[in-house]
Amino acid sequence: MIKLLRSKKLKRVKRVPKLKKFKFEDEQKTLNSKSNYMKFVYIIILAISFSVGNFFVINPTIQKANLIESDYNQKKNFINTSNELRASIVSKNKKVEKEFSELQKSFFKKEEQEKFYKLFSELAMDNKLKILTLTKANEDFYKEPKKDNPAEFNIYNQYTQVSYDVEIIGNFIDYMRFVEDLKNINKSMVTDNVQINKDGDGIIKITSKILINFKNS
Amino acid sequence: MNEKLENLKKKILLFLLKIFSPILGKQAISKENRFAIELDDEGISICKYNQGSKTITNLHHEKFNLAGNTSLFNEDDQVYYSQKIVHILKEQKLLEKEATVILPTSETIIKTINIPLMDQETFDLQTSDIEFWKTFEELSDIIDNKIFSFQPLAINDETQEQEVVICLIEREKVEKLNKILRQSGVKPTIYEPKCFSLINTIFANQKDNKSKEFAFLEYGEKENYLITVTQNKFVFAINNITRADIILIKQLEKMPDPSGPFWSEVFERSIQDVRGNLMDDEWKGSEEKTTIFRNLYVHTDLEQSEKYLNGLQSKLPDFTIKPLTLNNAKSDESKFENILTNKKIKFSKKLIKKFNQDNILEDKLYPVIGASLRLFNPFNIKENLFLRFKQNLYPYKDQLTNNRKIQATSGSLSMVLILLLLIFSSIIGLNIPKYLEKNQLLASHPVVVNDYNSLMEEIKTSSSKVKKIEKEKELAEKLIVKTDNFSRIIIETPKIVPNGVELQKVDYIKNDSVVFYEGYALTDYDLNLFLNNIKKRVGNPDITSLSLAELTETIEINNEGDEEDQQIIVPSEDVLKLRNFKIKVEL
Repeated sequence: MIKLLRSKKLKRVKRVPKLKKFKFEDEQKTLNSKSNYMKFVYIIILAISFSVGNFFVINPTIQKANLIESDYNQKKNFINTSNELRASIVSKNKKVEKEFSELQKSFFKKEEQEKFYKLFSELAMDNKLKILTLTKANEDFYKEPKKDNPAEFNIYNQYTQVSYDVEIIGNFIDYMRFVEDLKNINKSMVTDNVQINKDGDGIIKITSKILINFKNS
Repeated sequence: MNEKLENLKKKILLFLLKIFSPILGKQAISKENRFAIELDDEGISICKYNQGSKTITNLHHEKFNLAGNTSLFNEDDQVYYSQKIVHILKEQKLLEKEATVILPTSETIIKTINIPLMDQETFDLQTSDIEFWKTFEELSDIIDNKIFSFQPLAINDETQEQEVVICLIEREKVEKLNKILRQSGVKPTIYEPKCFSLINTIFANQKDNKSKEFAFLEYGEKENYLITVTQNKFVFAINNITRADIILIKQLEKMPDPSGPFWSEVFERSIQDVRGNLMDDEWKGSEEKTTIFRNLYVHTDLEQSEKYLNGLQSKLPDFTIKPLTLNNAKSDESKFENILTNKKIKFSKKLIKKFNQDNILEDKLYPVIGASLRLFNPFNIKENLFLRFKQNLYPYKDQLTNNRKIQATSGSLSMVLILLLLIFSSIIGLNIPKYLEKNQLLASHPVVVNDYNSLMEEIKTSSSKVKKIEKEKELAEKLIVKTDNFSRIIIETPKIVPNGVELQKVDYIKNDSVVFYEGYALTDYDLNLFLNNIKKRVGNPDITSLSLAELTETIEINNEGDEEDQQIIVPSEDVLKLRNFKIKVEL
């Protein structure tokens, strides 16, 4: 019994040391090429996308824009700098309009011919002159001979020229003042032909042809 | 239809694989980080050759020194072996790396057979079927339950046959070894018979990468064989040396003078099985029918063998016997085959230092050096080192080849994908700001054109309006005569008429720009004064008519500034003679 106990005590338990487990891939596993086909497809899609994007969208757009860029810049610059030009044109327009408007004041209006008669007779009366006759001799649109063909005329229907035959009597000094007054009212009135004859007793007879430019409205 | 499509797909894939194999193969090789291991019950040999730096970085042999009668293939002992291996590999920093495992030549069957010549596609198809190999008499009985590896060698055009070297080994043995190695942290992917490791070392050590004719003799306690290699042939022959003769060969080294008929007979007996192979017709020159002098490389597991080799040399005088050695002292190339003299294979500084300390490396490390030069090379591309024999008895080599090809292709495709993505992104990224800018320009161009046109129209309208008004103004100015000659004449006339002049008539003709003065002058002096005044204040006078007239009545002459009429009383007895004139004045 003791022998048995001894033998039991002496028996050593053989401990199997633990081994670290290494993780290796399964040797019998066979990979398939599906992911490779997918990658290949991705490459094709990528290449096509790039080609389409770069060669059919980006590059043509850039090239197209390059072609019109100079025109664009030129127009843009013109627009940017146009304010001065516009202002100068506007101011010039205003100036010309003003000048023209001032000039227009020098004309009697065609539909207001009575204003001329009134003014003319009033001035004559003021200067103690007597209008013997005031006869409308002719009335026509203003015309100028053409430069290339003087036989023909350029007709300007904005103005009507009316010529009057006028006979006035009075003394010379009064007539002189009358002429001065007519000059001062600054109307488009031209004295064409004048004949001043002495009539005796310091009285002179003035026979004249005057041309009035009426403005047609 | 499906079959045709499958065939077409295979052909396309094969074609693509053929084109891209060199690139993919290089990539696959570059990822191989492997070492060689030779394992037996007593110890382990390890060698790592770095393909990139062409340097052997690890060369190590260690005995296990396990007490008692232990065996690698004994399941109870495997844990202890594995522990030892793990410890050694950890020290060598080679744990969990891929490995080329050397198999004992004695446990492999190596044969050379001739198969009918066929095209590559048929060859691949046929050789993948085990039944094809069973049709050969040499293999039919032994091929079952074996792992099989083959390598085609030369083609014989006359017989239309191809020589193929075949290796076989018991599947169970390799699988057991594979299991032990995997649980020891080794990832075996090549199992190579030891003889090929040794022969490959000889090939790698040759200066020119050409297959030369030589013989290789392995002798010793464990393995005895002869391999003859020519341009077209590979012959493996077992050299059966009796145990007694091995003891005699070992004993021989202790003898002071091993000459005499007894030892001569021992030498002769030690090569009697393979002498015929050395004298084969193939080994004779084609022009002269004499044996060509060749190298006979020898390798042994015996500790000392110099005297035996001297004796062998005397029996084979036509051959130069060159023992494979790793002894620095044996560097004479005409007498020894020493890998240490190879300039293509370098050793790391650490190893050189170790060699110099130990002075001698064990020759038994020679096979493991040869095995370390091997690569798995799934695409079978040309390698830097010329290793003629590439046998692999790894049981799952076909799966691994397939997986490696897929992984290499996958890696390359990923790389290409990333590269293209980077290149394309860079190009697009660089072009995008320009594109956006130009696109904006294109989009705003019609607006700018419209604005421009409107502006031009506005300017044109304004300008034409200004021009029109200017024209109207010009016309109006034309009609308003600023220089009113008539009023000037009327105002000036009283100032220019002197006292002795009386005007009877003034005639103004606008169109001719002339004025005519008609009247009387008392004297010439008065007339001249009048003319002078005209010239000064009105224009150029021209007397168109001048005559004398007699006046008998009173003449009144108006004079400026003198309102009072001046009367000249002409006496009745005197008739007054006046100058009657008509003056034309050009205005």
